[in-house]
Order: sequence, then structure tokens, then C-alpha cells
Amino acid sequence: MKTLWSGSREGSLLRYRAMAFTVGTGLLLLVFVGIPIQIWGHSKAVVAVVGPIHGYLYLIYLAAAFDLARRERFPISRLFVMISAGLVPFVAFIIEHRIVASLRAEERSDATAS
Amino acid sequence: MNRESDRQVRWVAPRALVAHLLVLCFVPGCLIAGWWQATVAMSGNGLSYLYAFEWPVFAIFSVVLWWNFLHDDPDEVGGRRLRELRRDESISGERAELRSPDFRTEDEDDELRAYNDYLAQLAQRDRAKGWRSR
Repeated sequence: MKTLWSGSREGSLLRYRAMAFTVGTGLLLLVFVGIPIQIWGHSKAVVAVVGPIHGYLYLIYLAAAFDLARRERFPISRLFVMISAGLVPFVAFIIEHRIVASLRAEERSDATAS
Repeated sequence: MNRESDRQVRWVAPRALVAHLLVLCFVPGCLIAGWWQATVAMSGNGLSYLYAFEWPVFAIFSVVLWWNFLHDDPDEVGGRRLRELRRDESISGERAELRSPDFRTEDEDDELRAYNDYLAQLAQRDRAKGWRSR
């Protein structure tokens, strides 16, 4: 995993993708497992563990998204979409997919243009 | 940063005013939420200690974002938009070239012309698509 910590576009993209996947999964756990158990199971066990972990992972997700957006000169609107994608179940995966697709399309066109 | 600091930052442009407004609402909101979590934590909810520290980080993040937004180099952002536009044009251009032999023939009857117009309309709509719909 050498590129994960490298200061390249690939490293930045990989960090963002890893965090998008982590935060997306964490949010699904929280919303579809933790909260139903809290409401109907009257147990805070899952929420008490997953909640804070997810909260702090989301901070790392913010940093990763910010790093990618700055590095690739994304317009601020796209960064907002990336940030809010981490707050809505399932959306983090979709936005991550589209960001990767748009960067890959750009690479392909750069390769053919040069 | 040196080059950026040479540039004049527009503090009162419409987009900057929107950013000021967002930060002015968001930062106190984060601080209030953090303070609220701190009081909850003091009254015995251990979980809230973690959230009490998290909210101020959100506030700091939004200030960093605001600062970066104001100091964005418009040439860089504009340059990216231009490159994306060119790329979209070159992609749809390629597509039009590929299609052109069997697309838009000279001896079109009314039905075929309508159908080809429809295809052209579809191609036009593809071209207008941005990154969100790709």
C-alpha cells in the first residue's frame, strides 16, 4: 500500500476512496443496525460503540475529501457534495464512484490529447 | 501561498458573501452544539466527551474551508472548467465522427429525418452532462 501515503493524485484518491467506503459503511451500520436496536431493542450498545468511532472517522473523511478537492482543484460545489455525501446513507458510495469516473475520464482524454 | 497573497482577495463578491453567511451560521452552531455536548458530558454521559471535542473540529474545518474558498485562484478553477469543457467537446466530437457515415444521409425521408433529429437531440443532451450525471 505504498501509494496510500504518497503525495500523488493516486495516493490522495485512494485515501478518499478508502474513507468514503469506511464512512459509508459506518453510517449504514449506525442507521440500519444501531438506531433500530436503540429504539426497538432498548439497547444503546451498538450506537455507543459505532457512533463515536464513525464520528471521528468522518473527520478523517473530511480531511481526505478536502485534500483531494484542493489537489485536483475541484470547484467548491463538488467539495460540498463530497462532504454531504458522507451524511446520507448510500450516497457516499455513489459520489465516490462518480468522482473516480470523472478523474479517470480526464486521464483518458489527457492521454489521447498528448 | 506567496503568489496567492499577491492577489487581491475579493471579500465582498456575491460568492464571498454567501461564504461569509454560511460560516457565520455554521461556526456558532458548531460551538453551541459542542458546548451542549460538554454539559451533557459533565452530567455523566461519557459518550458525549467524544462529541464535545468533535464539534469544535467541524467549526475549525469550516473556517479553513472558508479561507481556502476566498483565496481560490480563479484562474486555476476556471482552467479546470475549461479543460472539462474541452474534454466533453472532444468526446462528443469523436462520437459524432464515428456516427457521421451512417448518420444524416442526403436522401432522408420525413420519418428518417425525424429520427435523426431525435438522435442529434440525444447527443446534444449527452454533451450537456456534467460530472454528476456521468
